[in-house]
Amino acid sequence: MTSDDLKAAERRVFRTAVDHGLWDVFVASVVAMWAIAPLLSETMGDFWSSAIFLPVWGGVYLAIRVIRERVVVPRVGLVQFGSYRRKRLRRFVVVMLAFNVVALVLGTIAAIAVQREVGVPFIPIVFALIVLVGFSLAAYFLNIPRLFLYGVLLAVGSMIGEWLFRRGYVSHHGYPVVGGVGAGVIAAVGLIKFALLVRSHGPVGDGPSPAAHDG
Amino acid sequence: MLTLLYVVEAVDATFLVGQTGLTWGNLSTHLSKLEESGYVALEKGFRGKKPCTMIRLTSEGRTAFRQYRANIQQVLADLPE
Repeated sequence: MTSDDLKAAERRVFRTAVDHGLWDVFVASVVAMWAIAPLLSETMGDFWSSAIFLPVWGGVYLAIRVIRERVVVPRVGLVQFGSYRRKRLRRFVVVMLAFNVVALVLGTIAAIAVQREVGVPFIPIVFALIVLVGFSLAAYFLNIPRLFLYGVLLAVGSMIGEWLFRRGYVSHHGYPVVGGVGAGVIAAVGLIKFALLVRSHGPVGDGPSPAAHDG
Repeated sequence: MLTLLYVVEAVDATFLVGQTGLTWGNLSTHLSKLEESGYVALEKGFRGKKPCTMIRLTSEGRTAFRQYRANIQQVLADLPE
């Protein structure tokens, strides 16, 4: 048994415990903001059209925690991760925070470029870059390659959305269409994964406890 | 099962049953023997109102597993090509 085997075992444990599909639904709720906020901004303004999603994300997050506790844990079980995974998750949080700052700077530069009418489609290019790098980092640190595909889907989608917008087929640079389709695909993948997990794992909480053999 | 326990801090019995494919009876027997040897520790507690037993490798268990890995790797290395 090599170190690679142990790493593979650790990755399998992590994915079994975490990759139940519910977090995909949370990601979909974030992506849905990209679809709905541009439509709301005309009546609510730029700030409130995005800020209104905070309680929505809070509600989705709480619902996921409850479903995880009542449906996933009785079927999959509980895991306290080892020091390797805890360190990796801490690094992931730090890297994502730093990346968010970079994304904010890039977004600001793109917004200024649009105001000055540079001519280059800065917003979709920067958006594509941000989602591609952001989802790739998440895929790498969380060992879930599917997240990279989500990044590709949204990055390519934003370029297609801009192309459709310039030809007059869609409004708002195509974000309502791209975000809506992206959120729908991501939520569907998550819900299918979750349904498969529920179907394949019955709750096993009624087995004899190993503690019964404590003597 | 020891590989699983080696790569985590602790797991509950449900997770071990799901990952190893052992029956509850087999798992209990294995865990009892490992606990007698001092390789695993069972920590009884509650999660909400439900009883929950977390299983972890002790430091002796980790040392024994590392030794076992080294032995196996040595055996494999000594095999003729």
